[in-house]
Amino acid sequence: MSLPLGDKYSVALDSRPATCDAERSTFNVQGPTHRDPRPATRDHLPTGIVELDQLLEGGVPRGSIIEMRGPVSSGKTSLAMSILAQSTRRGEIAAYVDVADSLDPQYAQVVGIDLGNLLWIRCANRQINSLDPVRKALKAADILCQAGGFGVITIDVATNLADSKIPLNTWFRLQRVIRGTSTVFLVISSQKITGSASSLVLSVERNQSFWTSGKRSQTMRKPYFQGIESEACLLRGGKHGSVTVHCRF
Amino acid sequence: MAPSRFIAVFSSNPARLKKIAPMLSPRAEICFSNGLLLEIPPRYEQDTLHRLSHLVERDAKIGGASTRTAAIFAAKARPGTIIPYGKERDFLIPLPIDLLSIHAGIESQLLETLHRWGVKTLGALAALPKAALVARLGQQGTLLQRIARGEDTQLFQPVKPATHFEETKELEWVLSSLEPLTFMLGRMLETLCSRLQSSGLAVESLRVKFKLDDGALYERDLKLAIPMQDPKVILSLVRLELQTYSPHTGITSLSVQAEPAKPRIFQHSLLQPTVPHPEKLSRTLRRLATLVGEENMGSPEVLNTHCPDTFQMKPLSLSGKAPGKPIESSSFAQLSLRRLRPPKTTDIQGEKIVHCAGPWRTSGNWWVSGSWAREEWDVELNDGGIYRVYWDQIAKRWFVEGVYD
Repeated sequence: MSLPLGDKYSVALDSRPATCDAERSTFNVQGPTHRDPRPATRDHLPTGIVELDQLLEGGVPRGSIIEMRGPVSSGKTSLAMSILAQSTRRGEIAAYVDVADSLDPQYAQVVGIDLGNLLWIRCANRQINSLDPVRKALKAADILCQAGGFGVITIDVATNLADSKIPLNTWFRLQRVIRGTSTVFLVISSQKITGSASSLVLSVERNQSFWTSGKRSQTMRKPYFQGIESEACLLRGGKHGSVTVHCRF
Repeated sequence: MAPSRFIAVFSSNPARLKKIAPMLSPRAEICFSNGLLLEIPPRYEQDTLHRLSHLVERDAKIGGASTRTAAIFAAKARPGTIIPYGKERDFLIPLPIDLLSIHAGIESQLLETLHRWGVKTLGALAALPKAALVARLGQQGTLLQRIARGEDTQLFQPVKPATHFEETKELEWVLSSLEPLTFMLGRMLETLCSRLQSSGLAVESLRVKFKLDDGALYERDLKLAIPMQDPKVILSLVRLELQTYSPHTGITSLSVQAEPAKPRIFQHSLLQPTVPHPEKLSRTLRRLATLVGEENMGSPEVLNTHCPDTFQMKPLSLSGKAPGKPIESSSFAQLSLRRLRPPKTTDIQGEKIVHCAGPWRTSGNWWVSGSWAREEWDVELNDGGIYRVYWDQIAKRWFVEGVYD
């Protein structure tokens, strides 16, 4: 549902769980508002996936919030890792604020992330600070944004949002801080959380998974899991569209 | 202003010489492994010689002159000789050229050549025409002649005394809150940093020591990410540290001790990507450590083992290493695993499984404690998730290790 606000502006008010097609029609920001989510710099950081970079016209925009969301096993974390690999391999310092302590350094290394340039902040431990992990992660992200100079700041809230409501103004405040900088603020989530504070929303859904059968495989007698095929759908930022992305070992 | 005088001392106990050097002159150089060169103002020469005679052994060789070279020759050839100002060349004339062998870099073959030429004394060498000497011996000839004339050929390199950078303050009252403590520490750090700056040094690490009201000693070590000179930045780091780890009672005296290091010059490059400013990063890391704990942040380092989920956290450092080769874009992404820490116990129910692959058996550390043995499976459930599960052969239970995403 969209409400017209004057002749020029209209904003979306939609709290339904998003499907690509339904949401594409509801987000309809036609002109600049006082909460202008457009980044001040037009520099881009490549995602490392050719089809996705083509869709995003060069990569994810710097100085803005990028929301990458999708259900479990959709491939959203793989895409985020690919972006982190691109950033750290360029010599940038990237931060990964991990609410659920879910990052696997071994997989991160295989993806190509330069672990020496990665600052991993694990917020799940409550022994030091009894603060809720999500609140702790947001505070950590705020500190990182204030420091400046980071290539990518990733906040991973994909599994810990059941009890936590994040106020929308939190994201707007973060967006204000990083605007005009060369930082990509990446949010990995399972649902819509950043609202109109994000400049780019990428919804990832799995199409199918690939498993070899033991009989057909020539090299291995056992069946094994090969990977997944996902549909990455650009809901906001640039031209709307979707691409098929393969995530495999 | 009268030129400085030099006193050379050679002793069979060089350790003793190093020890007494700061007592005699602030400018002293260790030479030839068993010698000491002192630079002193002319008016203190007699006084220094008098004190020196009491401090060194009887067999020590002492010589004085207006140049270091002449002082060394005086000590070596005629111990106890003090050459008056301007008389160095006259003193050196009769000395044999074999004395030149004490100088490093002068080959014995060169001295043999001079002997063959009939040049036996330093005076004869000094009197040779310079152009002809250079034509025959090259630059070595010039060097030899300058030494023979008693001129100094190298710069004086005095040993810098080890400086102790510490500020201490005894309090007349007991400090029990952070604000006045921060104020006191700020003043002390300002003094400490200005002392370090005047020596061209910076703080690499800081030790804050408090004497508490109950007589106990409280110490905190603060390792900085890079050597710093700004007292405000250091104060904010100390404050964050004390906010997290505060002493249990009031403070009666405080001391700040700095470990000095050469300051690192940090310059942003047009060709390299932007990175956080080291001082800012140091403060940011300290704030994050206060929030999540020092052990929960840093750069992960994968350990060289097949044991799953084995890594260690290292502090993030701006090493200034050149960026690696950017990864070429490809048509696919590497699949990642989201770990569950600790692994969640589960009961596998066949009707929920859509696909499965496995088992992949791994084991290790069976020869020591902490062994593991497991059978890993990749399973796709009807809820849409693709999980890695494993059967722990030691615990005899199923666990979910993570979810592919």
